[in-house]
Order: sequence, then C-alpha cells, then structure tokens
Amino acid sequence: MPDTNKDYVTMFAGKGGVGKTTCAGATALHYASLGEATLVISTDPTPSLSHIFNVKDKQKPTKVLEGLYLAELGIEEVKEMWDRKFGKEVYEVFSSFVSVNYEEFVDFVASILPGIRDEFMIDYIRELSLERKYQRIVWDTAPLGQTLHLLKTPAMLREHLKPAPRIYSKLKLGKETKKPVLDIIKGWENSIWCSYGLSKVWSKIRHCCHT
Amino acid sequence: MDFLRYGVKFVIVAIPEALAVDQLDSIFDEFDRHGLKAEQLVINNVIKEVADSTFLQAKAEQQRGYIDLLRQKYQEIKMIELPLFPHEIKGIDSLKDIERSLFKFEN
Repeated sequence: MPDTNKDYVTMFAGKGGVGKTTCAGATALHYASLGEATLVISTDPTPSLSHIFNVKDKQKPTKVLEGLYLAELGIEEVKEMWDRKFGKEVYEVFSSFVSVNYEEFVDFVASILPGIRDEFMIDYIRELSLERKYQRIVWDTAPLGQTLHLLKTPAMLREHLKPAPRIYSKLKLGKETKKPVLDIIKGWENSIWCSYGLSKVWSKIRHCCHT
Repeated sequence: MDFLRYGVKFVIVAIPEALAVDQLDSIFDEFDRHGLKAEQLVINNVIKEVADSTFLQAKAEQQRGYIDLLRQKYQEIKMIELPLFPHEIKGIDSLKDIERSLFKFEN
C-alpha cells in the first residue's frame, strides 16, 4: 500500500443519532485550528453537517472558516459525479445492446445508485486523499449498515435486479451482434467497473444474454 | 477495499444505552469480518453532573454499567467519553466544547 498515513482520512461510523456529525464536526474544527486545511464531508443521505456548522451556503465545498471546508454529498451530487465520470461511456456500451435512451438509462442507473453510492464515495474520498488538496479529510458517514455493504456486492446486485426485467426485455440481441457485445461486456468486467463492484452486475447481464 | 483497510482511521460513535451497546457488537463483528480495525470508540451523552437529581443519578448509574461493560469488552480500543451538555451542539462555540473533550489528552 503506497500511503499508510491513516490519520489523513478519519471516518466516523455508527448508528444514527448517536453524535457522529458532532464528533466529525469537532474533529474537523480541531485540525483546522492547528492550521491544517481540512475538508469535512458527509455522505449521509440525511445530512446534518451544514446544520451543525450553521452554514446556509449551498456551494460545494463551502468555506466554514479559514482552513475548514464542508461538503454534503447527497444522491443528486453523487448522481451528477457518476454521470460526469462514467455516464456517457457506460451508456455507449449499454445502448449497443439495450434499446434505451439516455434518460431511461440514467433512471436505471439511479435505481442501482443507492447501492453503488457508497462505493463511489469511497473512491471519491480516496482520490481526494491522493490529490492532497487538503491536509485532513474528516468523513461523516451514513448509518453504518449502509456503508459496509459496499464491501460485498450482493446487496447492490439485488437493487439492480429490481428494475432489470424492464430493461432486459428491451435487449436487442441478434445473432450477429451477440458475440461482440458479450466481448464488450467481458471487457467491462475487467475494467473500471470492477473497482465499483459492478463486475458481478455485468457478469449477470452476460449470463442473461446466454439464456 | 484496500483504501478502507489501510488508508482510513475509524472512529465509532455510540451512546451508553442497551440498544446502542448491542449494536456495537454487530458493528465490531462487521468490522472484523471485513478486516477493518476501529481505532477509537466515542461514548456520547455521558451524564457527568447529577446535582441533587435522583433521576440523573439513576440514569448516570445505568450508563456507568454500560460504559464499564464496554471498557471491559473492548480493552484494545481507545475509549473517549463525551459529556452530555445542557445545550444543543450547534455552531462553532459548542463544537469547541466537544473538541476539547475529544482531544483532551493530545497536544
């Protein structure tokens, strides 16, 4: 592991209502007061960071005071970030074998987004920590059950499969297109999607294509 | 995810009540199962001032029981008690109170 400076990112975990945000806020304040540029970030879908710091500014990140920045990333922000990073690319692959327009596709992804949101956030925070734009990152997480599921993909896969029949029914696989499409999916299994735990999703799609 | 295992410091927050303590068991179990280690455990809302209140004394005693249980059970982890404040924690000033308690033994 390249960087084992564990104190760079501090994550507050625990069930709801026990004071995670309070602790995260106070910790972020502590580092900022030591002169360390600190970002305090919340991935809680019911965020209370801006409330606890009395900030109304919707800008992300918001400057709380000198050296302390705050960002609350809700589902819309994550959707936006995901879309910016992967949207078009993934749609290109997807639309080559599913007759679906971009809006439908985005809705479909949004349906599985709750499951991949935490994974995406972990990667986002990892990227932030590599960028070293801040000297400390304090992370106020969602109530624990949701956060650790990212380490196993089955829960997310379940969410994906709910709207899947609607999408799969539109599969436009012909004999000619089948093989190259499956190769594309195989390629996706091994690429970026792996780090988002969606390799299982793609292998499931591949399985459906075979049947 | 390696980043979670090697790049993140985990602090678990709980309150000294039956349900929260039970939930801590499952949290630590999950952590163990994923090869994650929590560095600190913060127990929040700990009653420190009881004055003449028999009510507060009873609650504080109840809490003490759970806190002692946790200290015994999780000896390797650094435990911090955060006092229950009469005011709501909102805004920089009250957050500073929390900061003082959290980082009391540092610096």
